[in-house]
Amino acid sequence: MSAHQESDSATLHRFGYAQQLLRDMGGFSNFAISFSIISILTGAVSLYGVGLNACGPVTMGIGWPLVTLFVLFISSSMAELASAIPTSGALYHWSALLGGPAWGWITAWLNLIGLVAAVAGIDYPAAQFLAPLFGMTDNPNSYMIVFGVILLSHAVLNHVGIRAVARLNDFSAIYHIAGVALIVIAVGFFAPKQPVSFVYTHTFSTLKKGLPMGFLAGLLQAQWTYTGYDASAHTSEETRDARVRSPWGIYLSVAISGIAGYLMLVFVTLAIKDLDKTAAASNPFIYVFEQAFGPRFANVISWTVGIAMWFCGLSCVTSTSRMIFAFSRDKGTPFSHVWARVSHRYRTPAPAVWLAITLAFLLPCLVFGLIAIHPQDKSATDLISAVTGISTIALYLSYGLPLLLKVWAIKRGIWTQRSNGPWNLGKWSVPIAMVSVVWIAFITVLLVSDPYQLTGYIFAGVLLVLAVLYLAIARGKFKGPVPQAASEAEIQRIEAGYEGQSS
Amino acid sequence: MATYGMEIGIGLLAVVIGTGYLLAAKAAKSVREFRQEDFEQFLGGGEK
Repeated sequence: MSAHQESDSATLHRFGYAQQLLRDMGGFSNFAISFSIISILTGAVSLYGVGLNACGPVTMGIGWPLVTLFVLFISSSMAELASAIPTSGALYHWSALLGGPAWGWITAWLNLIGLVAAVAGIDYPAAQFLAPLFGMTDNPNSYMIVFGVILLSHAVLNHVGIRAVARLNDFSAIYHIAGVALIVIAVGFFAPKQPVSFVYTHTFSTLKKGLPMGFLAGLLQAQWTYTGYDASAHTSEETRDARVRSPWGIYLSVAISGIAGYLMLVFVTLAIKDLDKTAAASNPFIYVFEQAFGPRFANVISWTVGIAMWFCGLSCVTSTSRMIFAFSRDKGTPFSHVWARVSHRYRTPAPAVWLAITLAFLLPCLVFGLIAIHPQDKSATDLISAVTGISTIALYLSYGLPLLLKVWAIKRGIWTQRSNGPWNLGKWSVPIAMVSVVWIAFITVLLVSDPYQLTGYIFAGVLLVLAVLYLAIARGKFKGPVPQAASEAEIQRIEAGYEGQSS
Repeated sequence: MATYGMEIGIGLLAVVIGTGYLLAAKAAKSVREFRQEDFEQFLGGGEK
């Protein structure tokens, strides 16, 4: 064992947890998993039209950097906690230690709902995108078949090992950078260009809500893209030197996505020939390439993006399964003894992996079921878009709660300078956490405001169900993080059962 | 937006890059200067 591994295991033992998962990820792999989930290529293609129709080119030139600034604050505040408490439960574990079991329970479920909705929100649109490229008919049945196949491929890879997933994530990070470079070089050198002022001064909106409201609605394009970077914290029990590498993974995945995403969005927007026709296209991002280079190159971009979506979903399943595993290890889920199991052969939380993809598959089934019952009320597009919105709200609330609880813990004097991990912001910590919390509150309001009221109604229902469940089954019973063993010797005995068996 | 868009856009970009750099530099400094003996693992103490 190296010194790093000893230190990582010793940290985990302080929480009463054994090193069951295979700790094999380096710093780049930890960064790559979050970078792949943010997936600027996925976000750009599926959400470009939202931003363009909300406020036009200004959404890319001003909206994207504005959101990036606040997400940098949020990610740095989360990184501090990941450095101090590097466990797979991450957000939920932080909330439980900082505020007590009730806060831990609500954070866990918000995080879990957000992650499951994110898997569905990534892989279903990926299926919609890939089905026509495979020559399949453009209808929900084809989408569900491709969706099922994509989820299965993610489950199998996540089941057989973190090594394989980490290598694929490493490749995914390079692939995303190469994809952005291809797009930027192609449109930068060869496509007709608007003047640079186009992305800073030109507004356009089909929302008919006025410029300020259109601009605010356009911010959601970036905010929806920047989700899932908690993955670097969820994989901290599989990362070597996690107290330093996990926080860097969280922070750098946002920072580098910010730079690469900005370059890509600005260059693509500068290549727009006809703004009205582009905004009205079924996929404005691909339409820009069709107009600039013709259908063949647009098809290359479509495939590039389709593959990026697959990588994005793969990483998201990894993150979701680790969250389910950690929460189940602390007896927070129904049938927790099943989902807390770790495969002795692969040292992955295999049952949690399969639960994650099953729940993600059931989500669109639920949507189609609702449409079958009330066909006149809402379209599939509205409901799938609501799923994306719920994913973002739930994830960001689960990011915000531990940050708020940490500030509260500092005020009460239970969190001191000595509690800070190696990666910390010192005196900047509290103001940055407070700005992060205010931003999260602000975007939560935006995410449920007109025209996204449906998201608000569904999310209010979700919160009501969680409140009832807490009062009915968890209050007084859920104790928060539960040590797996009472003594160091017992922890060593659990670990001995896994060593030498991983493949 | 049409009048001051360029100034706002370029200024905001400078703020984002500057803030991103400062946060990273501050964190890198804390990692370099971290001393294990000063660290006390936070294990809770929250409300029940």
